[in-house]
Amino acid sequence: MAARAPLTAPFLRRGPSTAGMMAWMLGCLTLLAVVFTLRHDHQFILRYLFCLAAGGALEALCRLLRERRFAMPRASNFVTTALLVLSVPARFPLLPLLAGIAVAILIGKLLMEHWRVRLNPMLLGRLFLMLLCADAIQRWDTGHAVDTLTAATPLGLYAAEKAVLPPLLLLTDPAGQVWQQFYTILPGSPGEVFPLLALLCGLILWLAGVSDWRAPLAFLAAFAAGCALLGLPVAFHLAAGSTLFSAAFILTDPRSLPASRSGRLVAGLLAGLLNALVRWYGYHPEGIVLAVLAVNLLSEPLDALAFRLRARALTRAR
Amino acid sequence: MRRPVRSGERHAAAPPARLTELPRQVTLPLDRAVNRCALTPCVAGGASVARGEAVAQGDDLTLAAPLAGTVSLAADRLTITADDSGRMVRLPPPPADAAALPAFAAAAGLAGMGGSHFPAAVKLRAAAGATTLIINAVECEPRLAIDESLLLHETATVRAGADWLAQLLNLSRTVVAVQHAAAVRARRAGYELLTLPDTYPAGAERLIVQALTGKPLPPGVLPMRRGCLVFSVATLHALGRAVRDGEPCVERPLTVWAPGRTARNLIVPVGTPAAHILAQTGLPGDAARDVLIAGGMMMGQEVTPDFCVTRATNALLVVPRAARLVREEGRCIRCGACHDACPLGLHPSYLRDEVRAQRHTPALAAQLDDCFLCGACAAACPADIRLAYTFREGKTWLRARR
Repeated sequence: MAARAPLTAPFLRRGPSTAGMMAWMLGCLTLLAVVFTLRHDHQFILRYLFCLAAGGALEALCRLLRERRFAMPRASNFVTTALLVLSVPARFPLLPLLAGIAVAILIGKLLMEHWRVRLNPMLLGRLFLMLLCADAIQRWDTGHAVDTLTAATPLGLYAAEKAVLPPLLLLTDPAGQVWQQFYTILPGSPGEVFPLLALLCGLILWLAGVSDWRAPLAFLAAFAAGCALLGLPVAFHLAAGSTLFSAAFILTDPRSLPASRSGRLVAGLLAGLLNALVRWYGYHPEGIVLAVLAVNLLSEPLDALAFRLRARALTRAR
Repeated sequence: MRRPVRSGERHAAAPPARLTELPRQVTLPLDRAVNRCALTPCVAGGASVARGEAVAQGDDLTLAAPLAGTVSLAADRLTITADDSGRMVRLPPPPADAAALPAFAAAAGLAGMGGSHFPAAVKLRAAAGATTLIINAVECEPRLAIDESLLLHETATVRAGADWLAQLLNLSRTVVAVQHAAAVRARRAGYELLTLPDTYPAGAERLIVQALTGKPLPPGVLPMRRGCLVFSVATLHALGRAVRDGEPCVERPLTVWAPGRTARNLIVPVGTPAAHILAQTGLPGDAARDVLIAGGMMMGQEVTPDFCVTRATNALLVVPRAARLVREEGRCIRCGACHDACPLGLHPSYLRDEVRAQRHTPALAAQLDDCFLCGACAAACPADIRLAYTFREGKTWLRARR
């Protein structure tokens, strides 16, 4: 038997492995999917699982073609798929959704993994869906017959009528409520219907050492400041499902955000301000997509700048 | 939250013990890489030497025989086979003049026993102007407890070395650096305390000086620039033996730790085979089941049971050969965990890319020079990337370019 090379230090690891991190993320996302299934759409979990399987099969196929060997799909693939499925309406057409997953995985993950530019794969897929199915991506229903003239999601209600739901109600799943005896509040995308749960998941991921607090906290702070400056209701927008879901799961993506501490703070700040601007300008529902993708383009330059600044500080100290 | 690597162990309460049975043979490496200076044997093969007698010499360091016995020489090592004669040679009385201190340290075979293994004579030669002696009793690695054990249970010997040094060099202040968890117990030593976090690598000399003075200590700048003379408690213990008992540095205090089985602090003759130590502590060792590590979990190295303890060996760890020890390197996911873990605020993931691409920039050089290869980044990396190994190679490449 050939001699094995000696093991190298360190001989311990502190914190979860990459697969462990992805498992935590996937667990939290699956929790959201399960709760949505139980509360609003009993078939959603089937769609969720089917899409996960489809995404995994796609990556396995691509790697088989590229590397001439079968390899299990990476756990991050499932996280990307889960995020995309949870961010679109529960009844979004399946074929376009699968196309969006394919874009996220093929371009966002497999192609871009060798590039210096790092874009969030899930948001890339969602951008594709925005362009392909702009109408369907903003249509939410429960599958039951409802009068859509008097039904809306919380943010849709605000966009149409500037009506502000109480933040406490927002946090605890307002869907299905009859608000002011006039509007039936629809569930939004599965990931944003339970903002409090999303917030709790974000805390859990931070406590587990999976995600860093800087970008999401900077995002929320800058978003709140931006809303305040622009005259938007701060508590309402902060408690909105899309805000907290984005803070917990999108602003914590390690790959597309800067790796440096200062970079993450700057990225979070910029994303928050941009999101506030989009909300104020026209309530475009894809504010977070545009904001985070724009910030992703700055990830590499921010890291390079932080590296040089640290080196300069070290040189000055000598 | 991202938790740092913790150090400091409960078994520090155990006093260091000596082996009940001495080894029959000890082996002393002569190569420069181990001793930090070139050593030449000063006895011939087959010569009979007493314990404490000089067997190899360099400019700043002397190797003394840990056992009385017969010498055999190889190209890069010197082996002494014990003869049970019990003969011993003592050092001359310690000097009363600071100018003679480096020569005394060299004759006593003193080298940094906190990990650097740097000849103490070199440090003492540059000690003029120092005002503060820092006794480094911060465990340099997780799972180790030997430094605190020496401080608490060999206090008289440590004080003999520290007080003599402070008096000879006219140092106005003596401070003991300890971790928070050990602070209460360490007050027994009777020195001013500097408490440091219970996290790795709190025992790094640079971080201790920075904690005491409030000013960062850049690489290449000796602690002397801040008026500080830093010695590990193990080195001062050896100095105390030299000053009080006339015994050169022929022993090495270390921790032997096997999770769930034993945790002991020992003082063993330099050159003792690891297999002998493990047998004495009831750990016969199973190469198929366990990994033997010399040094600590963060900067140690895997060794075989025939590894012989050097003056730099502060621990022998017997760790189950679990899957996590054999880790395949994954892709960097840019999570920033390495950056958060670095005690100096460096950017390991970016630095790694620059080193691998061999982009020689001032920024790369500045960060690479600053890195002291503690391995905290690699321990935090979820992808098990061998960052410290890459930076070690990067430093070699950088030195070659300069």
